[in-house]
Amino acid sequence: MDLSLTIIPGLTDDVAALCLSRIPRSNFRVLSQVCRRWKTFLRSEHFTAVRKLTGTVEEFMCVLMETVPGKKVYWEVFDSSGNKLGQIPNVPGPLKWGYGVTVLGGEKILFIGGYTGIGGCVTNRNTPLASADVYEFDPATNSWGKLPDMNIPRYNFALAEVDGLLYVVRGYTNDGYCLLNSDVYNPETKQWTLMDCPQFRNISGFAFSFKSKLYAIGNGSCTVDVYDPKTNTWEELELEKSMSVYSYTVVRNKVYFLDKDMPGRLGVFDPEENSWTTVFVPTVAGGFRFGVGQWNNKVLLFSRLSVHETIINDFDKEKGSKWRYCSQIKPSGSHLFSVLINF
Amino acid sequence: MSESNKKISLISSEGEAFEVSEAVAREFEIVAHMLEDGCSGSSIPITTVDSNILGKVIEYCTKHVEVGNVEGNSEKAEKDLEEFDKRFIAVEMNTLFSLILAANYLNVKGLLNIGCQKVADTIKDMKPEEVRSIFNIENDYTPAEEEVVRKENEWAFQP
Repeated sequence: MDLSLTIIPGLTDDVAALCLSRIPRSNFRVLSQVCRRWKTFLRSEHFTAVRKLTGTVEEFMCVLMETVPGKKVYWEVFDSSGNKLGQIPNVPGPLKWGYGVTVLGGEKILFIGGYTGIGGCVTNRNTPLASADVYEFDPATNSWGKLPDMNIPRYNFALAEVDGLLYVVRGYTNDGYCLLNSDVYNPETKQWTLMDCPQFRNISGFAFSFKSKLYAIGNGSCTVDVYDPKTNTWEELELEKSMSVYSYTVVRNKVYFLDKDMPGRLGVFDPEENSWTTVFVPTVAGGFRFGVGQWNNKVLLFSRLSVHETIINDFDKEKGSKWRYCSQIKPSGSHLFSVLINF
Repeated sequence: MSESNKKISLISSEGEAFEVSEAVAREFEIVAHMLEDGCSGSSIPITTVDSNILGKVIEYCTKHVEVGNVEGNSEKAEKDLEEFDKRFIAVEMNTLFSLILAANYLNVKGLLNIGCQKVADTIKDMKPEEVRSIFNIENDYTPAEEEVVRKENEWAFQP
């Protein structure tokens, strides 16, 4: 055997791969400087497969952010220790608004729909051009690919995965028409199918999955619409007041959300108890507006104005809710969306 | 009882015989498979592993079988075993490599795991030149290439 061709002289390559697979990705940048062989190997799909096999995948938070609103948008990646791993490529195509971002199968980021062309502002004078485009980011190739289009171009929809199917609920389409249906994506067949939704007053809003059911809440509406895919039926749960949610996340089966009508507070919905509560959020210079995300099973609040500042809350059952500064997560821009992937 | 008392000889590459109980020998998955396949012989040649390393692997398996047999007080036993593993794997790199290769060949999963983890922990925070020197890896970058790689910071997810 030519020693110069082995990854680690003295070990067979399969065993060397097992050793290297246990190293955190944040160290790869430095280790790729060892030699050409290491650089190529650490980037190979084979090595990614080995990591999967040995169960050494890590959780990464990918944050979509902007530095110049409506102009410069990019993704930044953090690992579970808070190491900044750099950026991933931008989503192809023109800059969009009103899109949806989610993760399928724990590994791939989906960027869905949205509209283009009018600088992010929907007014009577302008007509947004809705998009049916769907892009998928695969961390193993570090690239975005195009998935089949949705049946109907749409933006400002609600979005949730329920038992492996992705529901893109309602939203608007070209000419500002409200949609009373959902596009449902099956990643196994790579097909979109249309599903009717009952009559709803308002369209945008948010959705999540709980116990194999889809929960969709339209902004401005006083009901939660619950869809059971097994029986193909909808039911309505009453809300005390209407919602106007602009950012939310689901951690350990509880929904944490920010509502335009509740400045300075974070809403918490526990679907198990059907209970709605709010917790106080400390203010920062520049106001209340945050984005919600999650990191290490904790709720993370991004500040839109003092961008480097994030606060975190364990929402631990015993210790209760307590905010503290999260010194590890310092995004370089303002937060638009954040998702977790396992890779 | 007769099953567990059965002795098996494992023969190292130098021809030295190591007599172990069947339970210990079965920790070597490769041996367990041979026994299941009806290999009834009481001595099994392990031609690719020398006496020094085979002795160590047997020591590891014996300890793990012993601890596995102790009933009750499992928390303490687990801690003991962790300590044992830590000490067992604190060896110089050449020996560590031999242990890993033997564990891989004999299919002793626990030993393979802690061995690989030890290598990973050793190098993960090292500088590139330190990694090259402990593994005797040649730096085949030209100075210009090395400069480019060093400056690369778009390293979120490679390709």
